[in-house]
Amino acid sequence: MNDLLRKEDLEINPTPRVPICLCLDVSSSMGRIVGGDVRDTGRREFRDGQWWNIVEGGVTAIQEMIGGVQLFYDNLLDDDVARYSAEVCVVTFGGTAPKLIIDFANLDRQEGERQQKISGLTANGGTPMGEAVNMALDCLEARKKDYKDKGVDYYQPWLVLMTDGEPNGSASELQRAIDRTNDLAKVRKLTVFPIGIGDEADMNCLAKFSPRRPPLRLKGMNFKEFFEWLSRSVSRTSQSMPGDTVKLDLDGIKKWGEL
Amino acid sequence: MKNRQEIQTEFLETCVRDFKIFIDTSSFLEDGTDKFFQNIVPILERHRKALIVPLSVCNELKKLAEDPAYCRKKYQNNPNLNRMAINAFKTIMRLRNANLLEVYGDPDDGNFADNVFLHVFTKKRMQYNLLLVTQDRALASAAMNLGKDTGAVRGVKRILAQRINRYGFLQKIFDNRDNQPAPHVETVETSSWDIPLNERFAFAKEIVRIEGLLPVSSVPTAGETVTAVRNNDRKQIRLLEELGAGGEGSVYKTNVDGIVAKIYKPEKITQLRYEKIKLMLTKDIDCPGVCFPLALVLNQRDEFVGYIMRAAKGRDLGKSVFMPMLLKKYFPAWTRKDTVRLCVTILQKFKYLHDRNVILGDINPYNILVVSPEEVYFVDTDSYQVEGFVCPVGMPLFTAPELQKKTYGLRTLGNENFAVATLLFMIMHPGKPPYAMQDGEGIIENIIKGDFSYPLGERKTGKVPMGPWRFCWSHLTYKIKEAFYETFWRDGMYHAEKKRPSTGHWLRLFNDYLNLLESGKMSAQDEETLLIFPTRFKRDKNKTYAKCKLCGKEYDEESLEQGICRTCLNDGQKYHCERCGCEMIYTNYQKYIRKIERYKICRECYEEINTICEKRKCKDCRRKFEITFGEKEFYEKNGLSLPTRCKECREKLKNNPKRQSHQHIPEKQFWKLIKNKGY
Repeated sequence: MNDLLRKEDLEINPTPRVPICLCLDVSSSMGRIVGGDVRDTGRREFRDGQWWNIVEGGVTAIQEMIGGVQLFYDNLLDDDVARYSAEVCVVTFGGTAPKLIIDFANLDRQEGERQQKISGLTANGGTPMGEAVNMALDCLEARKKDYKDKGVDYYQPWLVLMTDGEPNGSASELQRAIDRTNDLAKVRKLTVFPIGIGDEADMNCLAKFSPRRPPLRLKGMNFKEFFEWLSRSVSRTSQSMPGDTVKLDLDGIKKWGEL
Repeated sequence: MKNRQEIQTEFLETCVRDFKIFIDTSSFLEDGTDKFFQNIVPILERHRKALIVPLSVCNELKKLAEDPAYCRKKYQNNPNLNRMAINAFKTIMRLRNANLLEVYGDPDDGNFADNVFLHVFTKKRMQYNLLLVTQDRALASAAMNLGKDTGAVRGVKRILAQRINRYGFLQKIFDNRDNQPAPHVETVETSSWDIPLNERFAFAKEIVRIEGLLPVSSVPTAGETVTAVRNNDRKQIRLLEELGAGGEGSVYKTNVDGIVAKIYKPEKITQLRYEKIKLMLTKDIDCPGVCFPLALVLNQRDEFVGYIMRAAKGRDLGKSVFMPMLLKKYFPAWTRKDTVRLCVTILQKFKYLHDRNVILGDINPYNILVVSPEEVYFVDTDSYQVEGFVCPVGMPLFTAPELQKKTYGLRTLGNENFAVATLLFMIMHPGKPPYAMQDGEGIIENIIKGDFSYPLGERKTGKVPMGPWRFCWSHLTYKIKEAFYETFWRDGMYHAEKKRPSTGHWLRLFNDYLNLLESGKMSAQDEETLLIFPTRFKRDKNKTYAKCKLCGKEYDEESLEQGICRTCLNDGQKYHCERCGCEMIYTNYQKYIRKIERYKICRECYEEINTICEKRKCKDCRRKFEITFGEKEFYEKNGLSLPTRCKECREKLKNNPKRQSHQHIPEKQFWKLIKNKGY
């Protein structure tokens, strides 16, 4: 996005912003089949720390996740207030390094690229989670600075961290990410939603990212339910005023998450 | 020529003929009082008119006449007071017996004479020209303000205030309009005393605390019949479809047109709520658009479950006016006239409620619904503060600094006037809170510190948020800017709780603004006056303006450089650095003012290529020379090795063929060289 539009977005829209960073696992393991009809090819491969049966057909975890993220965007765009209040950035971790897929902007502005960029996500490589969280925090910091520079009001940012495995990037980066997240969350400058996907998600590691509430495990592949809940929470927050304490819809969590 | 006395007698005559004359206690206790009656009595007789004295004034004089101790206590400095009061009381009795004076008494009026005057004046100002004779400047000013307040309403008669001078004639209290000691800002609604007792709640002294839920056998829902009760009236009504649900309960349509019912959730049906709604129903609060409780709703076992009110319409401010994109979408034809009119409409309702001692408490953009600038609805009225029943909630953004980070208890009008100012600001700067600013610490901290960034005259912080907000501000009237500035800025005259402008004060400012906009006076001066989002500052009468050559917008001529505005000067053509590919801008300043070519590479690259990469010793002169990164890049790119001689020696070598002979020269060239040199 060019600088001029970025500037215009910030200056003309007085609505307090809710910056949200989706930090998503796209390692090989997210390519696992979680539903649909499959045919075994009989081949096996070693990827992302374990052996896999290679199959054809079926629906993968990452496809479910992509559906959820698209739904999240659609719901926010449908809501008059959230549409101008929520700002989303997407960081993925797979391969050997994290990637900034979509940088912060007004949702309207992202419409052109997001369909294609989100749909184009593929599962591949390792799980450099620490690196990704650091990148996510950097993006959030930069956006907050933009807000301050321009005199735009904002809510403290949200970080949604979703993984189905355990981090296998640099240990020091991971520790740095955990420390940074904790420092911010403890003084309520960051709301963290660590979500485990499937049985192999390292819940202990996710717990380290969240000093205020325990990580939740997604029930089955209820990505849609989760993202629907998340967009509702964003809508609720966007209708409050910065500085208000917004209670999360705890009952709603039961539809998609479990401890 | 008429002499002074004749002129004054004539004025007195006019007053008697055309005005109802009220006399205040203070004017009975003047040196000129006796002479005044000597002058006026013959005129009263001639016109068969009577002076009016409120009962409370009589009572006060009587008390002063009968009780010397009271005199000393009340007015210590006047030893003659008791004697004058005795005299005054006698005069009243004598004139009354002669039907030249009427004692006006209304037990509801209370004992405080000032309030009686204001009350009576408000009631009677549509019928009569009114003259208040008093020595008290504050009272006079309040009375005169009543006249001004309704200047716009047709049919209002004149209100005058005069004092008795020592010659026994009437005289202006204020020399001229400018010297009026009228308070600059009215912080209290003096005219609230106009409001009859059956509409006015008492002042709160203490918070009412009642614990506990009420027993409810069943909470009615759609389709059920309930009873609406007010005083002794009972009416059966049916709940129709649910219109909406919230944290406290649901709102249903009813079979009575235009009436809806709010039914609480069982856990919200408390004794406290019940008592509060009952109290709210003791007064006749009837203001179009304010959806105040009209009657209790009881279920079939006669248990309290909610209340009925008028139905609201429209879209809340938060999801319309406060978001520029939605403002454009839902009210595409609005101009500044409409936003100002909206402020006036909202202020009229605020004033109606404040006059009746109702404090809204939780003023926020989500409980004010807008249909049009003239049609606005206030919802969630059951949370309003009446007497000791507080409003337990509030939004920090609208909360006065003195209440920040505290639990909400009894609110004062001063607390509320902060929220009023904030809301008005956010209508005129659609959605932008007054304390948003560049480089701020966050709105709540800014509120607490009174860190307001918009400028007033020379006073400025330079931290106004980026974007169109500064232009919205600039186009307001000076008086409105002043009122905002003095309210929001920490050292402002109206920053303190008790000094904040009242809704009545704001109403006058916004009415004036509306008149200016509607009269076309402002747009004649500046065509951007009517824009909700102007694109530049308000035009100053004392400056000349010129259009920018590039963008065509108008600017103060002095701010233009060779006819180009500052924004355009910083703007320009975008291109990419030839070396690193980063985005660069060929500014209009470079192009038109400095008239230079655009740089091929960016600044970082420029600095980098000029940084020294290594130092060498020249092969010929043995002096040290430097090679920059740029040079190194050049040699490498062209497949050459780095030079071994310094620049000067290289030049010498180029120009000195003798030295060149050291180099290998192809045979053909060698012979040519020999020939040319004449060997």
